[in-house]
Amino acid sequence: MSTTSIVSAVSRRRWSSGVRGAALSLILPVVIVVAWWFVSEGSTSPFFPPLRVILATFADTWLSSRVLSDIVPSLVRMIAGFAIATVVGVALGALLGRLRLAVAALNPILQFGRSLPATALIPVAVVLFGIGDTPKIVLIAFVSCFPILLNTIDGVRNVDPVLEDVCRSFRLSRTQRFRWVQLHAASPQVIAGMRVALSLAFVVMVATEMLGSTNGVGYVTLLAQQGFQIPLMWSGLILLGLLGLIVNGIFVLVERGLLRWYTQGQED
Amino acid sequence: MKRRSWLVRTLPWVTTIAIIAAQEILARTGVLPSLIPPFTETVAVGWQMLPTPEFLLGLAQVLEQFVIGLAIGIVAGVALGIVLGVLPVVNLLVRYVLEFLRFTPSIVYIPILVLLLGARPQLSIVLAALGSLWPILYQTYYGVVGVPQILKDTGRVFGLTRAQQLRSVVIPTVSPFLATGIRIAASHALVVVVAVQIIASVEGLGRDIETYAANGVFPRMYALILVVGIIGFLLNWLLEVLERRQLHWHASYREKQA
Repeated sequence: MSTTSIVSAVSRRRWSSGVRGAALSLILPVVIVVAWWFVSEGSTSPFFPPLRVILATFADTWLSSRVLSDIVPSLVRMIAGFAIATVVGVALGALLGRLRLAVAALNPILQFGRSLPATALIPVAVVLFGIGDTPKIVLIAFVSCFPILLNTIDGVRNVDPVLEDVCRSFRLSRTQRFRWVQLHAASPQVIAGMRVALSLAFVVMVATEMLGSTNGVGYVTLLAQQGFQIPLMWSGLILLGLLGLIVNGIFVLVERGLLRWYTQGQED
Repeated sequence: MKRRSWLVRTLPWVTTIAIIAAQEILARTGVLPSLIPPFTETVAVGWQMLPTPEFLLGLAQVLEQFVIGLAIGIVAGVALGIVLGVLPVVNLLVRYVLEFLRFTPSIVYIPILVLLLGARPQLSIVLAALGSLWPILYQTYYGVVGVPQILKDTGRVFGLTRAQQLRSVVIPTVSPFLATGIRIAASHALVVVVAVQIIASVEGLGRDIETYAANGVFPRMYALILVVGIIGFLLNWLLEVLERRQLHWHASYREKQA
Protein backbone atom coordinates (compact mmCIF):
# COMPACT_ATOMS: atom_id res chain seq x y z
CA MET A 1 0.00 0.00 0.00
CA SER A 2 1.42 3.37 -0.93
CA THR A 3 1.71 6.15 1.64
CA THR A 4 -1.06 8.21 0.12
CA SER A 5 -3.55 5.36 0.22
CA ILE A 6 -2.66 4.67 3.88
CA VAL A 7 -3.19 8.33 4.68
CA SER A 8 -6.48 8.40 2.85
CA ALA A 9 -7.58 5.17 4.54
CA VAL A 10 -6.75 6.61 7.95
CA SER A 11 -8.49 9.88 7.20
CA ARG A 12 -11.48 7.99 5.82
CA ARG A 13 -11.70 5.94 8.99
CA ARG A 14 -11.40 9.06 11.12
CA TRP A 15 -14.04 10.75 8.99
CA SER A 16 -16.46 7.82 9.24
CA SER A 17 -16.03 7.62 13.03
CA GLY A 18 -16.67 11.36 13.12
CA VAL A 19 -19.85 10.85 11.13
CA ARG A 20 -20.92 8.04 13.44
CA GLY A 21 -20.23 10.29 16.43
CA ALA A 22 -22.24 13.10 14.92
CA ALA A 23 -25.10 10.70 14.15
CA LEU A 24 -25.03 9.47 17.74
CA SER A 25 -25.03 13.07 18.98
CA LEU A 26 -28.05 13.90 16.85
CA ILE A 27 -30.21 11.18 18.42
CA LEU A 28 -31.02 13.02 21.64
CA PRO A 29 -31.89 16.42 20.09
CA VAL A 30 -34.21 14.67 17.60
CA VAL A 31 -35.78 12.55 20.35
CA ILE A 32 -36.37 15.65 22.50
CA VAL A 33 -38.04 17.60 19.70
CA VAL A 34 -40.17 14.65 18.57
CA ALA A 35 -41.16 13.81 22.15
CA TRP A 36 -41.97 17.45 22.84
CA TRP A 37 -44.10 17.60 19.70
CA PHE A 38 -46.17 14.48 20.48
CA VAL A 39 -46.42 14.79 24.26
CA SER A 40 -47.50 18.44 24.04
CA GLU A 41 -49.87 17.88 21.11
CA GLY A 42 -52.94 17.21 23.22
CA SER A 43 -51.84 19.58 25.99
CA THR A 44 -54.49 21.80 27.48
CA SER A 45 -52.16 23.24 30.14
CA PRO A 46 -51.96 27.00 29.66
CA PHE A 47 -48.23 26.96 30.50
CA PHE A 48 -47.27 24.21 28.05
CA PRO A 49 -48.98 24.78 24.71
CA PRO A 50 -48.46 22.26 21.88
CA LEU A 51 -45.10 22.65 20.12
CA ARG A 52 -47.05 22.98 16.86
CA VAL A 53 -48.68 26.16 18.18
CA ILE A 54 -45.34 27.51 19.43
CA LEU A 55 -43.67 26.95 16.07
CA ALA A 56 -46.61 28.49 14.23
CA THR A 57 -46.32 31.55 16.47
CA PHE A 58 -42.57 31.57 15.84
CA ALA A 59 -43.13 31.72 12.10
CA ASP A 60 -45.87 34.35 12.38
CA THR A 61 -43.95 36.71 14.63
CA TRP A 62 -40.19 36.26 14.64
CA LEU A 63 -39.91 35.39 10.98
CA SER A 64 -42.00 38.32 9.76
CA SER A 65 -42.49 41.83 11.17
CA ARG A 66 -40.48 41.32 14.34
CA VAL A 67 -37.24 40.71 12.47
CA LEU A 68 -36.87 44.43 11.88
CA SER A 69 -38.71 45.70 14.94
CA ASP A 70 -37.04 43.49 17.56
CA ILE A 71 -34.41 41.01 16.38
CA VAL A 72 -32.30 43.55 14.49
CA PRO A 73 -32.34 46.15 17.32
CA SER A 74 -31.30 43.47 19.82
CA LEU A 75 -28.41 42.30 17.69
CA VAL A 76 -27.32 45.82 16.76
CA ARG A 77 -27.10 46.81 20.43
CA MET A 78 -25.14 43.74 21.34
CA ILE A 79 -22.74 43.99 18.43
CA ALA A 80 -22.24 47.74 18.90
CA GLY A 81 -21.54 47.34 22.61
CA PHE A 82 -19.24 44.40 21.99
CA ALA A 83 -17.37 46.26 19.24
CA ILE A 84 -16.82 49.32 21.44
CA ALA A 85 -15.65 47.07 24.27
CA THR A 86 -13.21 45.30 21.97
CA VAL A 87 -11.69 48.50 20.57
CA VAL A 88 -11.43 50.20 23.96
CA GLY A 89 -10.32 47.05 25.77
CA VAL A 90 -7.57 46.13 23.30
CA ALA A 91 -6.29 49.70 22.88
CA LEU A 92 -6.27 50.50 26.59
CA GLY A 93 -4.98 47.04 27.48
CA ALA A 94 -2.09 47.26 25.01
CA LEU A 95 -1.17 50.66 26.41
CA LEU A 96 -1.46 49.65 30.07
CA GLY A 97 0.33 46.36 29.47
CA ARG A 98 3.47 48.38 28.75
CA LEU A 99 3.10 50.61 31.82
CA ARG A 100 3.56 48.48 34.90
CA LEU A 101 3.14 51.34 37.34
CA ALA A 102 -0.07 52.52 35.70
CA VAL A 103 -1.59 49.04 36.00
CA ALA A 104 -0.56 48.86 39.65
CA ALA A 105 -2.08 52.29 40.21
CA LEU A 106 -5.39 51.43 38.53
CA ASN A 107 -5.58 47.87 39.83
CA PRO A 108 -8.15 48.48 42.63
CA ILE A 109 -10.52 50.26 40.23
CA LEU A 110 -10.10 47.56 37.57
CA GLN A 111 -10.67 44.76 40.07
CA PHE A 112 -13.76 46.47 41.46
CA GLY A 113 -15.16 47.06 37.98
CA ARG A 114 -14.53 43.44 37.07
CA SER A 115 -16.19 42.02 40.20
CA LEU A 116 -19.21 44.33 40.27
CA PRO A 117 -22.21 42.21 39.18
CA ALA A 118 -23.04 43.75 35.81
CA THR A 119 -26.78 43.48 36.18
CA ALA A 120 -26.79 45.73 39.27
CA LEU A 121 -25.95 48.60 36.90
CA ILE A 122 -29.08 48.26 34.74
CA PRO A 123 -31.12 50.67 36.90
CA VAL A 124 -28.25 53.19 36.78
CA ALA A 125 -28.09 52.98 33.00
CA VAL A 126 -31.84 53.60 32.80
CA VAL A 127 -31.64 56.51 35.28
CA LEU A 128 -28.76 58.17 33.44
CA PHE A 129 -29.60 57.45 29.80
CA GLY A 130 -33.31 56.61 29.65
CA ILE A 131 -34.78 53.59 27.90
CA GLY A 132 -33.47 53.95 24.33
CA ASP A 133 -30.53 52.24 22.67
CA THR A 134 -27.87 54.36 24.42
CA PRO A 135 -28.12 52.93 27.97
CA LYS A 136 -28.06 49.39 26.62
CA ILE A 137 -25.08 49.90 24.33
CA VAL A 138 -23.18 51.82 27.03
CA LEU A 139 -23.83 49.13 29.61
CA ILE A 140 -22.96 46.26 27.27
CA ALA A 141 -19.75 48.05 26.27
CA PHE A 142 -18.81 48.87 29.87
CA VAL A 143 -19.43 45.39 31.20
CA SER A 144 -17.80 43.44 28.39
CA CYS A 145 -14.79 45.76 28.33
CA PHE A 146 -13.28 44.35 31.52
CA PRO A 147 -12.45 40.79 30.46
CA ILE A 148 -10.93 42.05 27.19
CA LEU A 149 -8.97 44.78 28.95
CA LEU A 150 -7.57 42.55 31.69
CA ASN A 151 -6.69 39.74 29.29
CA THR A 152 -4.98 42.15 26.89
CA ILE A 153 -2.89 43.63 29.72
CA ASP A 154 -1.90 40.12 30.75
CA GLY A 155 -1.17 39.02 27.19
CA VAL A 156 0.96 42.03 26.27
CA ARG A 157 2.88 41.72 29.53
CA ASN A 158 3.75 38.09 29.05
CA VAL A 159 5.25 38.35 25.59
CA ASP A 160 8.18 35.97 25.35
CA PRO A 161 11.31 37.97 26.35
CA VAL A 162 13.28 36.28 23.56
CA LEU A 163 10.84 37.76 21.05
CA GLU A 164 11.42 41.18 22.55
CA ASP A 165 15.16 40.71 22.18
CA VAL A 166 14.76 39.67 18.56
CA CYS A 167 12.73 42.83 17.94
CA ARG A 168 15.50 44.91 19.42
CA SER A 169 18.16 43.18 17.31
CA PHE A 170 16.14 43.84 14.18
CA ARG A 171 15.62 47.43 15.28
CA LEU A 172 11.88 47.33 14.86
CA SER A 173 10.22 50.64 15.60
CA ARG A 174 7.78 50.90 18.49
CA THR A 175 4.75 50.76 16.22
CA GLN A 176 6.16 47.85 14.24
CA ARG A 177 6.90 46.00 17.43
CA PHE A 178 3.42 46.65 18.73
CA ARG A 179 1.61 45.77 15.51
CA TRP A 180 3.60 42.70 14.46
CA VAL A 181 4.88 41.21 17.67
CA GLN A 182 3.14 42.23 20.87
CA LEU A 183 -0.41 42.25 19.59
CA HIS A 184 0.17 39.03 17.70
CA ALA A 185 1.70 37.26 20.70
CA ALA A 186 -1.11 38.48 22.95
CA SER A 187 -3.91 37.54 20.56
CA PRO A 188 -4.79 34.11 22.04
CA GLN A 189 -5.42 35.76 25.39
CA VAL A 190 -7.20 38.74 23.85
CA ILE A 191 -9.53 36.40 22.00
CA ALA A 192 -10.14 34.35 25.15
CA GLY A 193 -11.18 37.61 26.83
CA MET A 194 -13.41 38.45 23.88
CA ARG A 195 -15.18 35.10 24.21
CA VAL A 196 -16.01 35.83 27.87
CA ALA A 197 -17.04 39.35 26.88
CA LEU A 198 -19.37 38.09 24.17
CA SER A 199 -21.35 35.88 26.52
CA LEU A 200 -21.52 38.78 29.01
CA ALA A 201 -22.74 41.06 26.22
CA PHE A 202 -25.50 38.58 25.41
CA VAL A 203 -26.60 38.33 29.04
CA VAL A 204 -26.63 42.11 29.46
CA MET A 205 -28.50 42.55 26.17
CA VAL A 206 -31.31 40.26 27.35
CA ALA A 207 -31.33 41.73 30.87
CA THR A 208 -31.49 45.35 29.70
CA GLU A 209 -34.36 44.46 27.40
CA MET A 210 -36.27 42.86 30.24
CA LEU A 211 -36.10 46.08 32.26
CA GLY A 212 -36.84 49.50 30.83
CA SER A 213 -37.18 48.81 27.14
CA THR A 214 -39.65 49.30 24.30
CA ASN A 215 -38.42 46.65 21.88
CA GLY A 216 -36.05 43.73 21.53
CA VAL A 217 -36.32 39.96 21.82
CA GLY A 218 -35.96 39.97 25.62
CA TYR A 219 -38.60 42.68 25.93
CA VAL A 220 -41.15 40.85 23.77
CA THR A 221 -40.53 37.56 25.57
CA LEU A 222 -41.02 38.99 29.06
CA LEU A 223 -44.01 41.07 27.93
CA ALA A 224 -45.59 37.97 26.39
CA GLN A 225 -45.32 36.22 29.75
CA GLN A 226 -46.84 39.18 31.57
CA GLY A 227 -49.62 39.42 28.96
CA PHE A 228 -50.16 35.67 29.18
CA GLN A 229 -49.36 35.10 25.49
CA ILE A 230 -47.65 31.84 26.36
CA PRO A 231 -46.90 30.53 22.81
CA LEU A 232 -45.20 33.84 22.02
CA MET A 233 -43.16 33.58 25.22
CA TRP A 234 -42.03 30.05 24.34
CA SER A 235 -41.10 31.07 20.82
CA GLY A 236 -39.09 33.97 22.28
CA LEU A 237 -37.22 31.54 24.54
CA ILE A 238 -36.42 29.32 21.56
CA LEU A 239 -35.26 32.31 19.56
CA LEU A 240 -32.97 33.52 22.37
CA GLY A 241 -31.48 30.03 22.62
CA LEU A 242 -30.88 29.94 18.86
CA LEU A 243 -29.39 33.45 18.83
CA GLY A 244 -26.98 32.50 21.62
CA LEU A 245 -25.95 29.42 19.70
CA ILE A 246 -25.50 31.28 16.38
CA VAL A 247 -23.55 34.19 17.88
CA ASN A 248 -21.20 31.88 19.77
CA GLY A 249 -20.90 29.57 16.76
CA ILE A 250 -19.81 32.44 14.51
CA PHE A 251 -17.32 33.55 17.13
CA VAL A 252 -15.81 30.07 17.42
CA LEU A 253 -15.39 29.89 13.63
CA VAL A 254 -13.71 33.30 13.49
CA GLU A 255 -11.52 32.34 16.44
CA ARG A 256 -10.41 29.14 14.75
CA GLY A 257 -9.47 31.05 11.62
CA LEU A 258 -7.57 33.74 13.52
CA LEU A 259 -5.72 31.39 15.82
CA ARG A 260 -4.85 28.65 13.36
CA TRP A 261 -1.14 29.51 13.69
CA TYR A 262 -1.39 29.18 17.47
CA THR A 263 -3.25 25.86 17.75
CA GLN A 264 -1.10 24.33 14.99
CA GLY A 265 2.01 25.39 16.84
CA GLN A 266 0.76 23.67 19.94
CA GLU A 267 -0.03 20.41 18.17
CA ASP A 268 3.47 20.09 16.69
CA MET B 1 14.69 49.21 44.20
CA LYS B 2 13.33 49.65 47.69
CA ARG B 3 11.88 53.02 46.78
CA ARG B 4 10.17 51.48 43.82
CA SER B 5 8.41 48.76 45.84
CA TRP B 6 7.26 51.45 48.28
CA LEU B 7 5.85 53.35 45.33
CA VAL B 8 4.12 50.26 43.96
CA ARG B 9 2.51 49.66 47.33
CA THR B 10 1.18 53.17 47.91
CA LEU B 11 0.31 54.12 44.33
CA PRO B 12 -2.95 52.09 44.13
CA TRP B 13 -4.22 53.87 47.24
CA VAL B 14 -3.20 57.27 45.95
CA THR B 15 -4.89 56.85 42.56
CA THR B 16 -8.03 55.32 44.04
CA ILE B 17 -8.37 58.17 46.52
CA ALA B 18 -7.63 60.68 43.75
CA ILE B 19 -10.36 59.24 41.51
CA ILE B 20 -12.86 59.28 44.37
CA ALA B 21 -11.86 62.86 45.23
CA ALA B 22 -12.26 63.89 41.59
CA GLN B 23 -15.75 62.37 41.49
CA GLU B 24 -16.60 64.19 44.72
CA ILE B 25 -15.44 67.56 43.37
CA LEU B 26 -17.11 67.10 39.96
CA ALA B 27 -20.40 66.17 41.64
CA ARG B 28 -20.26 69.02 44.18
CA THR B 29 -19.42 71.66 41.59
CA GLY B 30 -22.28 70.53 39.39
CA VAL B 31 -20.19 69.27 36.49
CA LEU B 32 -21.79 65.85 36.87
CA PRO B 33 -25.61 65.81 36.66
CA SER B 34 -27.48 65.87 39.98
CA LEU B 35 -28.46 62.26 39.28
CA ILE B 36 -24.96 61.30 40.40
CA PRO B 37 -24.46 62.21 44.08
CA PRO B 38 -20.95 62.85 45.45
CA PHE B 39 -19.15 59.79 46.77
CA THR B 40 -19.22 60.89 50.42
CA GLU B 41 -22.99 61.33 50.26
CA THR B 42 -23.41 57.81 48.83
CA VAL B 43 -21.19 56.38 51.55
CA ALA B 44 -22.93 58.39 54.29
CA VAL B 45 -26.35 57.19 53.12
CA GLY B 46 -25.03 53.65 52.90
CA TRP B 47 -23.59 53.90 56.42
CA GLN B 48 -26.97 55.00 57.76
CA MET B 49 -28.67 52.10 55.98
CA LEU B 50 -26.25 49.46 57.28
CA PRO B 51 -27.88 48.79 60.68
CA THR B 52 -31.47 48.97 59.41
CA PRO B 53 -33.42 45.69 59.39
CA GLU B 54 -34.50 46.23 55.75
CA PHE B 55 -30.91 46.39 54.59
CA LEU B 56 -29.77 43.41 56.66
CA LEU B 57 -32.71 41.36 55.42
CA GLY B 58 -31.97 42.26 51.79
CA LEU B 59 -28.32 41.39 52.26
CA ALA B 60 -29.18 38.06 53.89
CA GLN B 61 -31.57 37.28 51.03
CA VAL B 62 -28.97 37.98 48.36
CA LEU B 63 -26.37 35.86 50.14
CA GLU B 64 -28.79 33.04 50.88
CA GLN B 65 -30.02 32.72 47.29
CA PHE B 66 -26.48 33.04 45.98
CA VAL B 67 -24.96 30.42 48.31
CA ILE B 68 -27.70 27.82 47.85
CA GLY B 69 -27.77 28.30 44.07
CA LEU B 70 -24.01 28.06 43.76
CA ALA B 71 -23.86 24.99 46.01
CA ILE B 72 -26.44 23.19 43.87
CA GLY B 73 -24.59 24.25 40.72
CA ILE B 74 -21.27 22.92 42.05
CA VAL B 75 -22.65 19.54 43.12
CA ALA B 76 -24.59 19.01 39.89
CA GLY B 77 -21.77 20.34 37.71
CA VAL B 78 -19.10 18.14 39.29
CA ALA B 79 -21.32 15.06 39.08
CA LEU B 80 -22.24 15.64 35.43
CA GLY B 81 -18.69 16.62 34.50
CA ILE B 82 -17.32 13.38 35.93
CA VAL B 83 -19.98 11.29 34.17
CA LEU B 84 -19.24 12.97 30.82
CA GLY B 85 -15.50 12.64 31.32
CA VAL B 86 -15.57 8.97 32.31
CA LEU B 87 -18.22 7.78 29.82
CA PRO B 88 -17.43 9.09 26.30
CA VAL B 89 -20.66 7.53 24.95
CA VAL B 90 -22.79 9.65 27.24
CA ASN B 91 -20.79 12.69 26.18
CA LEU B 92 -21.43 11.92 22.50
CA LEU B 93 -25.13 11.44 23.18
CA VAL B 94 -25.75 14.67 25.06
CA ARG B 95 -23.14 17.05 23.63
CA TYR B 96 -25.38 18.89 21.13
CA VAL B 97 -28.09 19.37 23.73
CA LEU B 98 -25.55 20.69 26.24
CA GLU B 99 -23.98 22.98 23.65
CA PHE B 100 -27.40 24.44 22.94
CA LEU B 101 -28.23 24.90 26.61
CA ARG B 102 -24.86 26.27 27.72
CA PHE B 103 -25.05 29.20 25.30
CA THR B 104 -28.48 30.17 26.58
CA PRO B 105 -27.91 32.57 29.48
CA SER B 106 -29.95 31.45 32.46
CA ILE B 107 -31.82 34.77 32.76
CA VAL B 108 -33.51 33.84 29.49
CA TYR B 109 -35.61 31.37 31.50
CA ILE B 110 -36.99 34.10 33.77
CA PRO B 111 -40.35 34.39 31.94
CA ILE B 112 -41.26 30.70 32.02
CA LEU B 113 -39.97 30.15 35.54
CA VAL B 114 -41.90 33.15 36.86
CA LEU B 115 -45.01 31.34 35.65
CA LEU B 116 -44.00 28.03 37.18
CA LEU B 117 -42.38 29.13 40.44
CA GLY B 118 -43.63 32.68 40.95
CA ALA B 119 -41.42 35.63 41.94
CA ARG B 120 -40.01 33.80 44.95
CA PRO B 121 -36.47 33.06 46.16
CA GLN B 122 -36.68 29.62 44.53
CA LEU B 123 -36.64 31.39 41.16
CA SER B 124 -33.27 33.01 41.70
CA ILE B 125 -31.86 29.88 43.37
CA VAL B 126 -32.78 27.72 40.38
CA LEU B 127 -31.37 30.23 37.90
CA ALA B 128 -28.18 30.79 39.92
CA ALA B 129 -27.69 27.03 40.04
CA LEU B 130 -28.20 26.83 36.30
CA GLY B 131 -25.86 29.76 35.65
CA SER B 132 -23.09 28.25 37.75
CA LEU B 133 -23.61 24.72 36.40
CA TRP B 134 -21.92 25.25 33.02
CA PRO B 135 -18.47 26.53 34.04
CA ILE B 136 -18.24 23.84 36.74
CA LEU B 137 -19.42 21.08 34.41
CA TYR B 138 -17.01 21.94 31.61
CA GLN B 139 -14.03 22.60 33.87
CA THR B 140 -14.60 19.27 35.65
CA TYR B 141 -14.96 17.54 32.30
CA TYR B 142 -11.73 19.04 30.93
CA GLY B 143 -9.98 18.12 34.17
CA VAL B 144 -11.14 14.51 34.07
CA VAL B 145 -10.38 14.09 30.37
CA GLY B 146 -7.01 15.79 30.82
CA VAL B 147 -5.58 13.35 33.37
CA PRO B 148 -2.36 12.34 31.59
CA GLN B 149 -2.24 8.69 30.49
CA ILE B 150 1.21 8.30 32.02
CA LEU B 151 -0.12 9.27 35.45
CA LYS B 152 -2.94 6.75 35.16
CA ASP B 153 -0.51 4.04 34.03
CA THR B 154 1.91 4.87 36.83
CA GLY B 155 -0.90 4.61 39.34
CA ARG B 156 -1.83 1.22 37.97
CA VAL B 157 1.77 -0.03 37.98
CA PHE B 158 2.07 0.94 41.62
CA GLY B 159 -1.03 -1.15 42.27
CA LEU B 160 -3.15 1.69 43.61
CA THR B 161 -6.72 0.78 44.46
CA ARG B 162 -9.53 2.68 42.72
CA ALA B 163 -10.03 4.89 45.75
CA GLN B 164 -6.29 5.60 45.93
CA GLN B 165 -6.19 6.41 42.21
CA LEU B 166 -9.03 8.83 42.67
CA ARG B 167 -7.36 10.46 45.68
CA SER B 168 -3.80 10.71 44.38
CA VAL B 169 -4.23 10.93 40.61
CA VAL B 170 -7.63 12.19 39.52
CA ILE B 171 -8.48 14.74 42.23
CA PRO B 172 -5.08 16.51 42.11
CA THR B 173 -5.35 16.86 38.32
CA VAL B 174 -8.94 18.03 38.33
CA SER B 175 -8.78 20.44 41.28
CA PRO B 176 -7.05 23.39 39.55
CA PHE B 177 -9.61 23.17 36.73
CA LEU B 178 -12.41 22.98 39.27
CA ALA B 179 -11.05 25.96 41.21
CA THR B 180 -11.18 28.09 38.07
CA GLY B 181 -14.69 26.78 37.38
CA ILE B 182 -15.88 27.73 40.85
CA ARG B 183 -14.43 31.23 40.53
CA ILE B 184 -16.23 31.80 37.21
CA ALA B 185 -19.41 30.15 38.49
CA ALA B 186 -19.52 32.32 41.61
CA SER B 187 -19.43 35.54 39.64
CA HIS B 188 -22.07 34.18 37.21
CA ALA B 189 -24.30 33.19 40.13
CA LEU B 190 -24.06 36.65 41.70
CA VAL B 191 -24.87 38.34 38.38
CA VAL B 192 -27.89 36.07 37.95
CA VAL B 193 -29.22 36.51 41.50
CA VAL B 194 -29.04 40.31 41.21
CA ALA B 195 -30.61 40.21 37.73
CA VAL B 196 -33.52 38.05 38.87
CA GLN B 197 -34.13 40.32 41.85
CA ILE B 198 -34.11 43.41 39.65
CA ILE B 199 -36.14 42.03 36.74
CA ALA B 200 -38.60 39.73 38.50
CA SER B 201 -38.76 41.57 41.87
CA VAL B 202 -37.58 38.59 43.89
CA GLU B 203 -36.80 39.76 47.43
CA GLY B 204 -33.25 40.97 48.07
CA LEU B 205 -30.89 43.92 47.53
CA GLY B 206 -31.42 43.77 43.75
CA ARG B 207 -35.12 44.49 44.15
CA ASP B 208 -34.30 47.29 46.58
CA ILE B 209 -31.93 48.84 44.02
CA GLU B 210 -34.68 48.79 41.43
CA THR B 211 -37.25 50.20 43.90
CA TYR B 212 -34.95 53.11 44.83
CA ALA B 213 -34.20 53.74 41.15
CA ALA B 214 -37.88 53.77 40.22
CA ASN B 215 -38.68 56.18 43.05
CA GLY B 216 -35.76 58.50 42.38
CA VAL B 217 -33.92 57.80 45.65
CA PHE B 218 -30.57 57.81 43.88
CA PRO B 219 -28.11 58.04 46.82
CA ARG B 220 -29.66 54.88 48.27
CA MET B 221 -29.58 53.19 44.88
CA TYR B 222 -25.86 53.94 44.50
CA ALA B 223 -25.16 52.91 48.09
CA LEU B 224 -26.71 49.49 47.49
CA ILE B 225 -24.85 49.08 44.18
CA LEU B 226 -21.66 49.87 46.08
CA VAL B 227 -22.56 47.17 48.60
CA VAL B 228 -23.25 44.62 45.85
CA GLY B 229 -19.96 45.58 44.21
CA ILE B 230 -18.11 45.06 47.49
CA ILE B 231 -19.75 41.64 47.84
CA GLY B 232 -18.48 40.71 44.38
CA PHE B 233 -15.02 42.09 45.14
CA LEU B 234 -14.70 40.24 48.46
CA LEU B 235 -15.99 37.06 46.86
CA ASN B 236 -13.36 37.18 44.12
CA TRP B 237 -10.64 37.93 46.63
CA LEU B 238 -11.75 35.16 49.00
CA LEU B 239 -11.87 32.55 46.25
CA GLU B 240 -8.47 33.57 44.94
CA VAL B 241 -6.93 33.31 48.41
CA LEU B 242 -8.55 29.92 49.05
CA GLU B 243 -7.44 28.70 45.64
CA ARG B 244 -3.85 29.73 46.26
CA ARG B 245 -3.83 28.18 49.72
CA GLN B 246 -5.40 24.89 48.65
CA LEU B 247 -3.37 24.55 45.48
CA HIS B 248 -0.01 25.92 46.63
CA TRP B 249 1.62 22.65 45.56
CA HIS B 250 0.47 23.02 41.94
CA ALA B 251 2.99 24.21 39.33
CA SER B 252 0.88 27.12 38.06
CA TYR B 253 0.58 28.54 41.58
CA ARG B 254 4.11 27.91 42.78
CA GLU B 255 5.54 30.63 40.60
CA LYS B 256 3.18 33.31 41.84
CA GLN B 257 4.24 32.76 45.43
CA ALA B 258 7.94 32.93 44.77
